[in-house]
Amino acid sequence: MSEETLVVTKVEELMASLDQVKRYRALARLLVDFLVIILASVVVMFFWELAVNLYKIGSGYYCYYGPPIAYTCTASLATGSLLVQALAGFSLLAPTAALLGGVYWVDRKLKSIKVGEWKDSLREGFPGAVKLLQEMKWDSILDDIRASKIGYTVYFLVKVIGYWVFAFVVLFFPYVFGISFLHVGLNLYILAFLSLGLVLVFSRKDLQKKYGQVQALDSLMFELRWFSDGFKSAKFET
Amino acid sequence: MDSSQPSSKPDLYVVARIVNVLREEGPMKRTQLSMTTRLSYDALVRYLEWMKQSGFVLLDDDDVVHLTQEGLQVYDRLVKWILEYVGRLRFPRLAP
Repeated sequence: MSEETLVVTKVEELMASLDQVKRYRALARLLVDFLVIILASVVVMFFWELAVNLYKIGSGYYCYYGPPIAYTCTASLATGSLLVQALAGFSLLAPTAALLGGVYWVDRKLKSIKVGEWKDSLREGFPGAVKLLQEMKWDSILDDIRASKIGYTVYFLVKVIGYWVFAFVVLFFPYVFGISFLHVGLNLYILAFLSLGLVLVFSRKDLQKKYGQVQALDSLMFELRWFSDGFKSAKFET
Repeated sequence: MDSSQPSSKPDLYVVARIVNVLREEGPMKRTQLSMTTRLSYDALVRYLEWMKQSGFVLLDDDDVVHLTQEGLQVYDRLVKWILEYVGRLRFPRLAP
């Protein structure tokens, strides 16, 4: 491989890595959208609960505060209780839908990010590689990598928490149904730990991969900091 | 730097493009070189003037631009100089 081809190959690798950083950087921005969607769904869930509880009080249900569910209404004083209980359960659908919708939204936005615009320049060969290196804004690139690292880590944490909530919701009904046969008290802490455990077990490979990516971003930043310092201070003498 | 304004510090990319074309396609007239390098004729003339003064190219009586041995050596030095920096980079694999 000629020296010129080596330079082009290296610059191609560099640009491909920076494209990936661009995606991660966008992910950090989309995280805000994702959190807004989730928070909005939680607000909807609380208002739904509130509306159902108000309806229950107005319909003559006996309601009281008590752990583990903060506000409980029994159906002893009214009819049609199954329908009302089902309506109360629907409130959990809001965060579930928001989680799935949020992941879809982030995924769709990520796919729309333009990458590979440097390929045309690189088709020129070595001169194109020189052009790309000359036009690089190193400070901004290093800032982007920093932001990407934080965004990527937080996004992954939010994703795990989201899956945790999803697992909690999915397991809630079988759990309540199951313990009603055993005639024991409802303990949501057990369900929370159980669902978290399941999510961690099922996503352990993903966890390792994501941790590896954060390390890779660290490593890329280290390499590029060294390269930009050297390249900026160096002077080509004709 | 503005590629149409070569000064004491010209754009390396433009110089590399001119040398690369002359090296791969041989001597050619300025008008043809302007089209092949996709540089405006005026910008090319300014660059060629600088390159001629630096001894990288020669212009004969028929207005044909020739790459000199020195021009070729400078280009090779530029390749080596960039490879010295970029060649040491080790990229981690970033998953899509």
